[in-house]
Amino acid sequence: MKQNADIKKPKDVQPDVLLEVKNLKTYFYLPSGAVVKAVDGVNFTLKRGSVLGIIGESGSGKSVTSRSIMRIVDEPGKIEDGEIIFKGQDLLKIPEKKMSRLRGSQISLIFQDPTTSFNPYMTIGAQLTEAYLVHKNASKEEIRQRCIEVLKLVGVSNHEEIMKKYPCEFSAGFRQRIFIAMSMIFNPDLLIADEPTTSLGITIQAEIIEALIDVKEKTGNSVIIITHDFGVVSQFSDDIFVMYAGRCVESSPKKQLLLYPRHPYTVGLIRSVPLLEARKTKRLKSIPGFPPDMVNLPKGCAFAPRCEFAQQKCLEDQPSLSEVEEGRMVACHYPLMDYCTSDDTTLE
Amino acid sequence: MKNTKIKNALSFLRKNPTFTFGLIIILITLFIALFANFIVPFDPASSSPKERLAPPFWSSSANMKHILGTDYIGRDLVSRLFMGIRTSVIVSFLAVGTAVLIGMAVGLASGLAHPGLLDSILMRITDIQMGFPFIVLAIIILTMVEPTVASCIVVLSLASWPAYARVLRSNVMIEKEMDYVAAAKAMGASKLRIAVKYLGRNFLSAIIPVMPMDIAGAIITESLLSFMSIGIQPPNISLGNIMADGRNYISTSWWITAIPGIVVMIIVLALNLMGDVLQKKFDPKLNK
Repeated sequence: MKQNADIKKPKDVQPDVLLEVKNLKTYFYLPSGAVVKAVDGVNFTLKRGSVLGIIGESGSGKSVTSRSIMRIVDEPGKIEDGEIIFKGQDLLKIPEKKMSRLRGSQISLIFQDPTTSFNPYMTIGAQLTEAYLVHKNASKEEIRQRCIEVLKLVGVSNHEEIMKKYPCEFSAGFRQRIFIAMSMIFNPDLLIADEPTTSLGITIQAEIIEALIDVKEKTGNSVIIITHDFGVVSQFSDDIFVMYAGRCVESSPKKQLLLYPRHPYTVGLIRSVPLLEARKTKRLKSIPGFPPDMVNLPKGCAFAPRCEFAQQKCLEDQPSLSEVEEGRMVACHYPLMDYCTSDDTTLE
Repeated sequence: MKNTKIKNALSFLRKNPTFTFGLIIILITLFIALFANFIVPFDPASSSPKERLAPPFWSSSANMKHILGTDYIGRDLVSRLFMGIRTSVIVSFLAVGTAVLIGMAVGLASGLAHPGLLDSILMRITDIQMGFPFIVLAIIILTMVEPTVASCIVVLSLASWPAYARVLRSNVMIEKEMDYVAAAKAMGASKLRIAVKYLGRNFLSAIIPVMPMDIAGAIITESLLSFMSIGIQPPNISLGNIMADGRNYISTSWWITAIPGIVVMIIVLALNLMGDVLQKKFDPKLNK
């Protein structure tokens, strides 16, 4: 895969901020009148050329965050408040036409399930061409060249044959590869991967993550990777952002977060990852209870009912995100300042 | 690549002799329809009163110049049949084409607007159209406006567009929730592009098998309307017109009415045979 490294020269990696999400709120208004606050005040910044991992349980608002950035939240969802500043302009304020020009060319989204994210009635070649034609009129030859380039980028060979075939003729892993290629057609500055490996087998997951890392190294773009798998973020990301019930509970550089998680929820998540060395432990420790009902969120900290360290204040007062150490934000009244995963006896 | 396509087509024809049979008849019909002007043996409008009501070739008193005989003012029936096929075929093809376009537009719009006011309005109009007896509607419209070829096409297309609209709407409602539509959106495709290229295009398989049957229906309805003298008006010749011409002489010269009827039957049969096979071909449940 490395021999194609010269296809795309990495962009100059500038340390400045590519994307800044401020107080993003996306609510869903159910027909019954209830309001689901799927994303409720999320803040994060993404530096140019860096990788941000967003991790959380199902229903914690990860996908809605990504769709909000693309402004493709489906009805009855609505982006209520906040700013999404991408390259200095607020994506929530620009007109729809301008936004659709950004989609696919400057921000791309990779979907969860490659078996449904392709149009089953169009050949791979036609879909790649289509992705190209949405933004630019070009000669057939130019399009073909670019398609072959991006297919090479993700390590796909014999392009001619592949472009003539239909999506159903390939395995899910291969389709995901092609989808990554498709989203790279205009070499976007920001690639959002929304659980790109969730529907794949474990060996294919590793391959796809490798392909993503490869693409990122070759092109130097920024990536937001959304997942509920610590394996994925630990391989790939620079910063990790933990979400729970539509809010950020902890955001921190990767190493510190994995070694010294400060929020009890993060600790619970890390504890629940099966480790190869820990085979002798009798049971994997899971977080008790269920994710909260998004229609009736608890008054205090949303995690308090499941938290083993919860105290009276947690049930009454919602903690806000505050800096506990340099570069580390935690939303907890009683962050676990002395916890270290390597000391945790339950992990051995 | 091209060779395999031709090979596939040939093996499909060989495996489906009924389809091939229908296709051949339709190709002959289309040939007649397109070149009727050049292949008519006589001017279909010129009369020769001396040879009026000549019987067809099987009769002992047949005039072999006019193989299928002549009508009540001595116009050659073969020539008139050719011109009739031309009008009927063109009118019904265009009518179904119009119906598909209207149906697709309405179906797409209401499927995309679902649930919403536009969807409700369009679907109620479709319901009214479907509930109203079509022949009554056709008679009302054609007696109100001048029955030209164009108005016939419009009236005939009224018969079949609601079905296309319904099929398309239900398909759009299912497909618009699919990930690949969201993926197209995330790629930056505009709403119109998604509607036409992703949603509209994908339902050709639902529409193509129905089209031959609808064309057959349109041919029958057109003949019926022309037979009732509210369809295509003379001097334009349609199959229904010829039948209408023979109506007064049916006890003595029955063939003037019977032969165009048989022609209609053959064309309709051929179209239905094709439609049957196409339906099986496009239906994954039957395609085993």
